[in-house]
Amino acid sequence: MGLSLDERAERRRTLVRRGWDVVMRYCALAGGLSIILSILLLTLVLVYGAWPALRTFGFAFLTTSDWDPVNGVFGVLPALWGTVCSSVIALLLAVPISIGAAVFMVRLAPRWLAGPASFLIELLAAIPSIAYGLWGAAVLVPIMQRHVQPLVKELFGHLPVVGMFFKGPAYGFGMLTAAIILAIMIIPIITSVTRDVLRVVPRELDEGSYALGSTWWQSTRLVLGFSKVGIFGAVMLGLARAVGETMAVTMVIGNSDQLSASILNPAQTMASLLANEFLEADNPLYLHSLVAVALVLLATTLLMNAIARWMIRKAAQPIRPGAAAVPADTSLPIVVASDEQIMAKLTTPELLIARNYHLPQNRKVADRIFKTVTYACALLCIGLLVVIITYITYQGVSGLSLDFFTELPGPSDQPIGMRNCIIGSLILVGMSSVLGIPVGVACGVYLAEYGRRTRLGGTVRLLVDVLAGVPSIVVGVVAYVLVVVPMGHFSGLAGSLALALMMVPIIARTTEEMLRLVPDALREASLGAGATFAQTITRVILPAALSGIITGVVLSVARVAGETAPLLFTALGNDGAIYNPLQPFPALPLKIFIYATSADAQWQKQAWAGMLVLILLILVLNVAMRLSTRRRTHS
Amino acid sequence: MPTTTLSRILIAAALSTVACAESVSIQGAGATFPAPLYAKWTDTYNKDHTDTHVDYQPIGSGGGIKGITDKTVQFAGSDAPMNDTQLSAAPGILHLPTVAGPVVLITHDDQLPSGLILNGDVIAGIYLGEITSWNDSKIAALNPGVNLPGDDIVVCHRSDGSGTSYIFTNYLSKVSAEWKSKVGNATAVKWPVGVGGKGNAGVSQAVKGSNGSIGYVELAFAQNAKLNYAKLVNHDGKVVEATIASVFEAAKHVGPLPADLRLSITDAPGDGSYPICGYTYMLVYSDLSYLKNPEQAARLLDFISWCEHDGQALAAPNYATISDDIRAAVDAKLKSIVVDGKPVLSGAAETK
Repeated sequence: MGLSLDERAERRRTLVRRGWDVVMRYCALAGGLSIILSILLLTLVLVYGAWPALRTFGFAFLTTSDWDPVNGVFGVLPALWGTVCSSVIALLLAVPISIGAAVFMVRLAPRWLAGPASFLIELLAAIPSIAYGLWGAAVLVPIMQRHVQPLVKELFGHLPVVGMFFKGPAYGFGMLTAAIILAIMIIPIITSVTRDVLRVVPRELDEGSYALGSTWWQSTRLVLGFSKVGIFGAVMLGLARAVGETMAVTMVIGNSDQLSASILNPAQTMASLLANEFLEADNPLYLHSLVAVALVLLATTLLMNAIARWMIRKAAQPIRPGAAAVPADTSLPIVVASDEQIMAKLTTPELLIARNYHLPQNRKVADRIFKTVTYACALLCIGLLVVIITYITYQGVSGLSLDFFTELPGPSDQPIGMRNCIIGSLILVGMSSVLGIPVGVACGVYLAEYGRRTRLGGTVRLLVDVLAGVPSIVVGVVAYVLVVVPMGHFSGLAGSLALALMMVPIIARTTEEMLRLVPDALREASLGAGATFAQTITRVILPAALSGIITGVVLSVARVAGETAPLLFTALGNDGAIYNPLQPFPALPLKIFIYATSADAQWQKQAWAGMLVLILLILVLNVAMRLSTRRRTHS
Repeated sequence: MPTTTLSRILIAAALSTVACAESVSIQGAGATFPAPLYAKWTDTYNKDHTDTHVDYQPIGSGGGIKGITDKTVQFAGSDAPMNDTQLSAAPGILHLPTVAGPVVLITHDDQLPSGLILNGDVIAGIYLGEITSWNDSKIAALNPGVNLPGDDIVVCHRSDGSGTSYIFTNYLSKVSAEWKSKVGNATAVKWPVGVGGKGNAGVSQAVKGSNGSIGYVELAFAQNAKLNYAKLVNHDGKVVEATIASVFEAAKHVGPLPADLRLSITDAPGDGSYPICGYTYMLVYSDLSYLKNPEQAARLLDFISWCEHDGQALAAPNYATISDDIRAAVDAKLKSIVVDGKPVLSGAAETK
């Protein structure tokens, strides 16, 4: 009553600002909770579907190696082994190369090269997995059979103990071939995210290190150590992709249910087993067992994540020089870049040793070696890209014509094209972006800003990684059960829901990593200047991390734009120019998959042309997003 | 800016849907083997019947069966007949054979001549892992005078559940007691040996990629991949090549038709019968009362009936047409389909 008008207005403004704070907090929390809800729903559907099989076989399901659909005996051991083995080998191959390529782009490449190079590597992520599979079977498998496998056998096959991993006839198809394909597929993810993580390392660290007389390699090591948590996040995204990948693996792994120690032999992963048999399982116990495989896969992803976390935590501890150190908990942000901490980093025992005991000559040699290795990694990545893109272009160009863009699909004796599929895919990806990007960013904000040190935050973080590893086919089938069957028909809406569910974890994880790397000084300055927490997040922190978040969005769009498996059972496809989100919906990857696997020569040509167009679309989208955000960050 | 573009597209999409809401749409999904033909059928039919829009998406036989079981599609395509447990989940499903095709054994070896002859016993031996070399005495006995290489046989099979595997294992179960007891007949089995490829394309790729390999695919894939395929010794001891004519011959000698039309035409008697072939089916419910639009039922049956009559002219060169007695049986089935207890087709409709 006694308040003046101004005071009342001021109070109202404060209330509104507080209100926004609350809204922001709950939005972020909702983003985080949506992950828990998704996993719960997924698990419920899977447990319900798997229960009869689990009751029949019990623990033996995990420990027996028989997979016999005719006699109704099912054991998942060979596929379990295949999943773990192939993804571990893929990580061993991909992580060093990816980190090398990222270091090259951030710390070695001149500016005019760094942009296009990283751009090209993101392009690798846009190649649909069916293209990787076809390329792998046509190009990689013969090379493996004729050159790599005989060589590997000769080198390691005769060694005691180790030899048993390198035995057997050279089929070309097998675990090693699959692991190589997987490595190629996860390199772009790990590289892009690592690049963004390295980019935001405070300059003081680098400069300080150089000032203390470090070589390029020594300060690079320092920077890598500093960005460990972010890189770990990148690796986890890569691992998730490797564990859940179906189409490409299926086409090169040889799909054998026989358990074998040799990585040269045909094998099977759980995801490839699902891709092979899920849609065609013809009796209830068989189907229940396949659902149980999906459940085991989910559990395996969870376990592998937990083990990786534990390992990194272990590895992180000895380097910490006492109480002033960066928090040992890996779930905590390392970027709390106060001067003391940077100094603490600069005086780690390792560096002291490096400075004081290494002869200058050795340091220089090491520096030169690692520079060369870095160049080699970048060159390898670009080389792979050039090889694969050339192959797809070579296959695809002959199918490209004006008809491709103006005609509808149809029988091969007429002029046909994929006009409706291109439009359909754009709409589908648009709808899933509208659904997925806000949820993903909200979840990332929650993880980085609200749930950093909370137990709930830790849980959500783990579940995000698990969700990222759910094979696309499982997402599709769950969407079928939850959306298509209740609606009574296939629909574009169900398809975009499935795609959105796959986008969320990628966006959430990259957003989180990027937000964490925004120095706390920025937060404190904003809050100190009187901004609310909500304002700080929307006006200061998110813009600061925008380029990295865009990377996440681009990666996720690239990932889902080429996905077939989740659409087969949701959007279904459509040969007309009908774009009703509540009806079967046309999509480019669906047509590509169906045409690529047909016997019709004309259809096969169209499939390759489709892949080429898909990659070009992603390219254009990528450029457009980068350009639009660059303008915004500058203004 | 992007959001306005998107909303424009969505509005345009909504308008275009309204525009074609007048025509009755029918959705089918399933088998991949007849997909090129079904694409021709739907295209031709839609052009002649502008008030109907039939769409078929080849997502695999299993997907089709799942769709029709859940009633999310109006008809399904399947390369293998539904088994009894599947049928019990979808009571009232009718099997309507549309066309037939052969499964051939493709081989790839630098030294293996084309025109290799195999029989059921040898194929079973190879796929059981008992015959492991190309110069095995059993293969030599079938190919007198042919110089067979001593290469190891790389066995390739389908890794995914498939109608092709069903036909192939159906044949092996008929000709080999050992196969029947050890492995059996299904869309997916526990393969004793070999490399698995996903889809026909995966198997052709696997066979092409290695030396000394053998695999089984549908004829069109062998021709498209330009791979040699073996001639087979049939039930009557004659050597036959896989052609549309030899498949039609096998279909003619199948004997009395089962009432549910779940046919098996492997290992058929008759001099010219190719032994490994099978029908592909359209699956529909015998009671279409569940369709919200009764007009949909009439159009659906008109389309299927058109496929079984006029459409058959489009089957060559990759598919064998159905025989007259099967067509008569299919017509009888179509006439028996009801909505709310009343037959959908009048006598004139299906002979159009």
